[in-house]
Amino acid sequence: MTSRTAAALGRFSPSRLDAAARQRLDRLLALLVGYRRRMWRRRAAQRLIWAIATGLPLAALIVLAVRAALVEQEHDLGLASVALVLLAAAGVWIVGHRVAWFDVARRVDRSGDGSDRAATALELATAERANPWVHIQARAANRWAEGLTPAGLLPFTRPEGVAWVLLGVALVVGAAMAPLTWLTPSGHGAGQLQGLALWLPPPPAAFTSAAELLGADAIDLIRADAELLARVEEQLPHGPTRVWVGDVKKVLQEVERGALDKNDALERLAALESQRPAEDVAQDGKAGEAGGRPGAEPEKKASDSPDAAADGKSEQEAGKGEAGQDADRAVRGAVARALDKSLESAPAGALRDALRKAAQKKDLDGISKWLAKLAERNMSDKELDKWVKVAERFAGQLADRKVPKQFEKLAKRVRRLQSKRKRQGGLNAGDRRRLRSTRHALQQLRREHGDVDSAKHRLQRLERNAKSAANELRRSRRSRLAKGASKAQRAQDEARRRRARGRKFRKRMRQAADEMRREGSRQKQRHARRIGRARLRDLREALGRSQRNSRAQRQFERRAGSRRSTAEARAKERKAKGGGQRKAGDRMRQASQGGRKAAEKAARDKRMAQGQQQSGQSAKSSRRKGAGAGRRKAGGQGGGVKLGQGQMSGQTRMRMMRAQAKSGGDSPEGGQGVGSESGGPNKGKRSGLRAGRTEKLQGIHGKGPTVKQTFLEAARRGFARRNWRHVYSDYSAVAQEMMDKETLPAGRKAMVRRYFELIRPR
Amino acid sequence: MNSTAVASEPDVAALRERIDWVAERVQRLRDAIGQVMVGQHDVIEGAIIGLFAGGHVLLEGVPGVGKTILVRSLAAAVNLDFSRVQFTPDLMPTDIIGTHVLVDDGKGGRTFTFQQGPVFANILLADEINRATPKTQSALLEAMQEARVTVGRESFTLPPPFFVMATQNPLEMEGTYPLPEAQLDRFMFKLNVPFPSHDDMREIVARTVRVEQATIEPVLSGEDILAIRDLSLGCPVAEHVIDYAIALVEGTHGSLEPARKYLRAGASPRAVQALIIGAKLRAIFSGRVNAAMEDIRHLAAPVLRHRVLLNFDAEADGVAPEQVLEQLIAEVDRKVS
Repeated sequence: MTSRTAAALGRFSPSRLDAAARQRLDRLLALLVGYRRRMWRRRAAQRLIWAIATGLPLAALIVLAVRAALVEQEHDLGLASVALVLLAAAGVWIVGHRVAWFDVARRVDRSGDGSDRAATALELATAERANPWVHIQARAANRWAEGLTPAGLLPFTRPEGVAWVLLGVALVVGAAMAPLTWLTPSGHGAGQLQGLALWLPPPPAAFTSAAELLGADAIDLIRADAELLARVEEQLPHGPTRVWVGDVKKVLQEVERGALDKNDALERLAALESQRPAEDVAQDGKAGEAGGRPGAEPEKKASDSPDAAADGKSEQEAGKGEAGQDADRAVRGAVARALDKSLESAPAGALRDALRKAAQKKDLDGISKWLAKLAERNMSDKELDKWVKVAERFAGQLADRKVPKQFEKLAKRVRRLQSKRKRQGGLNAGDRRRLRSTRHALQQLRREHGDVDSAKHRLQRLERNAKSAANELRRSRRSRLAKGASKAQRAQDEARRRRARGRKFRKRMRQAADEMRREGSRQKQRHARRIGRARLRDLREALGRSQRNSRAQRQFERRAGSRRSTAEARAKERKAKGGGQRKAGDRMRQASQGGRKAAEKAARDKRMAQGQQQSGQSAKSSRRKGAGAGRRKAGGQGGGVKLGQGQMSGQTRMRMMRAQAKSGGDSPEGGQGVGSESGGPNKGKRSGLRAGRTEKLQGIHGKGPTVKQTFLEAARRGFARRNWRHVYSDYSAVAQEMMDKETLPAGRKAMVRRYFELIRPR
Repeated sequence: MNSTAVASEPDVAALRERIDWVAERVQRLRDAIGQVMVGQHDVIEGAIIGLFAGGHVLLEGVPGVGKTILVRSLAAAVNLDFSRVQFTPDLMPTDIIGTHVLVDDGKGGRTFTFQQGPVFANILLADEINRATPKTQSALLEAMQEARVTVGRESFTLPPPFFVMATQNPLEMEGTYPLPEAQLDRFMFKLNVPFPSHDDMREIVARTVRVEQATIEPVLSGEDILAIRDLSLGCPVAEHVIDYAIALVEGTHGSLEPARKYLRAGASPRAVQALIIGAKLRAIFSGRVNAAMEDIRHLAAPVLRHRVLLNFDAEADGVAPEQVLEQLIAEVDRKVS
């Protein structure tokens, strides 16, 4: 219908007709008026029903709120005004509607099988009067309307939505009669609640066991971790660290049993992270101060000095990045080396052998135990002198400043080169090489001796104790010689001195043993905390990973399912319409292939997300590198962390990749072909290479060892002789260091940690 | 809105009388055809409307269902000239239109005289029209649209009323030439002649397999047909009925979902004309004085089924034009209600 006609008919009213037309159509108009009124009433009744059905639940809520005194008295007026406005709006909506005359005519036609008589008569009555057809048509319509009544055309029918009204009434009655105790949670009186939402009980949280999210291998690992922590806990002295480790172990055990919800597990992990016990150094320092033990004073002083501040900072960093492990190892190594060397001049005996054995094992507890025994032992003067020399030598060995000096020298060189680079905006090839080698040497030194600042401080303490013991003995000897008394007197004095000297030596030895024991204890606690933290981190990451994996899996299954169902529906539809089963089969195959492709793509994406697409591992990737190395600038670092590559700079790695690409013909596996894979995420450091620049590396034929020689040399050195435990700690420390330094994605970090978790010696 | 002139009562009475006369004559025509044709009421109705509307009708049905009988009966009942052309592949346009022949004038001279073909008749039965070549089929284009034929430089007007009824067999498609769209569009209706029911066949046997054959007496003349056509054109049609017909035709052009899904091309404006004139005639023949939407609905299939082109999806899904049109009608009804 054109808009012109529609507008004209929409405005139509019988009052606009002339008298003759009204007279011609009198019966039809009477029918239309009656029908229209009836139609209006029916529509209003229907709207009333819907309004009531909507309003009653609201009324039930208000009744509940009023009964439970959830609405404050001062808000009553506002609530009433809102209710009034709603009622007024509903009233306007119910009665404020108009039924168009033309719609009425068409409905009458439809209901009375009028073949458009009424609608045409109305339309023509407003348009033409001179046409005899109009008169005839009007008469025909009028005659047709004679036998019709509005009630016959529009009989009464039950309005829709009556059931909803009844439900609303039931709600209101229920709200009015329900006991108030049902409306409020236990422990709260009706009058005590303020605000509308307070009475709502908190929804019960769905229990999702953390164990369900984790795989069987992860649960095995968690079980092993819990056992490890139990062993560590047994070795620890009583204190906050032991309690904390016990808590971590408890969480792991509960996760393993499936007794812990995922969210609870994450919350408890976060709480344990934040409740990590403070450093034992401070506690021991306090204990030493309270007990008047030597070492407490230097500790306190050290904490006040700038060195101590640096030391504390170092400790903090060590705690965060687990670099403290290196420092502990360095202290143990230094003590063991110093003791081992100083024992060369010690009197032979079981005590010396035991001490030497403990030193070789780097067992601080063992050293402490044997030093305590040494303190308790009755020795001759000669023997005592020898042990004094041992103590002096031990102190001297501990005071060796070669390593710190070497550290300072290398750090200074690095700083100088960095400032040069800053000044000049870059370095030449020689300086870059020097900077690389210096950094490498610094890292090597750090790996061998640990963090020099923290190690230095601990060694100084031991050195002071050893020196003190030696000085005490030396002083007593000098006083004895100076006195020069008579023989008897000398004998008495000698006996007294011997006793005093022995007493003092024993006291110092005991102090040294205590210090050694405390150091051992501190190292154990630090080790325990490191283990605890690692386990917490692993568990948290495993939970997060499993959550992500399950979400990705669900999404993938949903996509695949929808593709499958669409394909099946199409195939069924085509089959049902007889359009050719062959075509439908083809489509099904295409759809299933599409689904498979989608599945492969999703799996590929997933692998990429988890960082499992490692570059440079297979022959395939070697081929990719062969042509794609130029644009895969940071592929070596970003594509995945590989053991032993951690210290390799991006440029060196790049050069290696290029060399590999160039020598593709020599390698039976790679170098040829065009890479089709895009590079890994560019998370590595920027290399100095610019696009388009080519570096040529050419080896000299005949120079360097042959492959056979390399293998034989390695076999002679015995690369498998080292204990796996040591290899593991070295490599994991390097990997951890690189992860701390480089901005690797969390997924990749998790993958590396997972890898080291799996190869961890047990 | 209101003009000053008002129709006089005698005019109204005269018109009423003529309308009643038309209804009575048409009923007699139906009865006359009904003496020969058994059943097929919709086909007869369509053929009568086509005849009075000045349109042409294409009949499609399997052999033996009474297509030719219907045409013959109609021609006999209206007392008009009737020609029948059996279309074959070797039929030439001149075989239909006529040609100039050399005629001896009796005085020793010879002149070219136009020899009229079978098209020069009031009712032309083009039997199995799809068996002729497109060239021959096209010979009817001018005659059907303009009631005129042109031979050389001469044009000849065909005697009014001119009415073409063509038949085609949907089964034997081998060696046939489907009618081009332009030719199809010139047919007002395409009527599918269904296979008769069991009772109808019994009646057919009873009427035809006997010595006495039914004869049809003429009930209308050519002038009557033209008068009824003029009268029916004056029948008023309400705007909303015209809009309904237009919405339906527009719907075939993709404005509605069924057409978007299954139609490649929609109907031409000739379809709206055919719907409205057909609705007027149907209303008058039914004793009404106003065309209604139900008339449009009733005529939608015969008017539109040969004017819409199905797309590949419809062919593949085995959807007939009638099904698409049913969906279109339902959609338009939903929109206007």
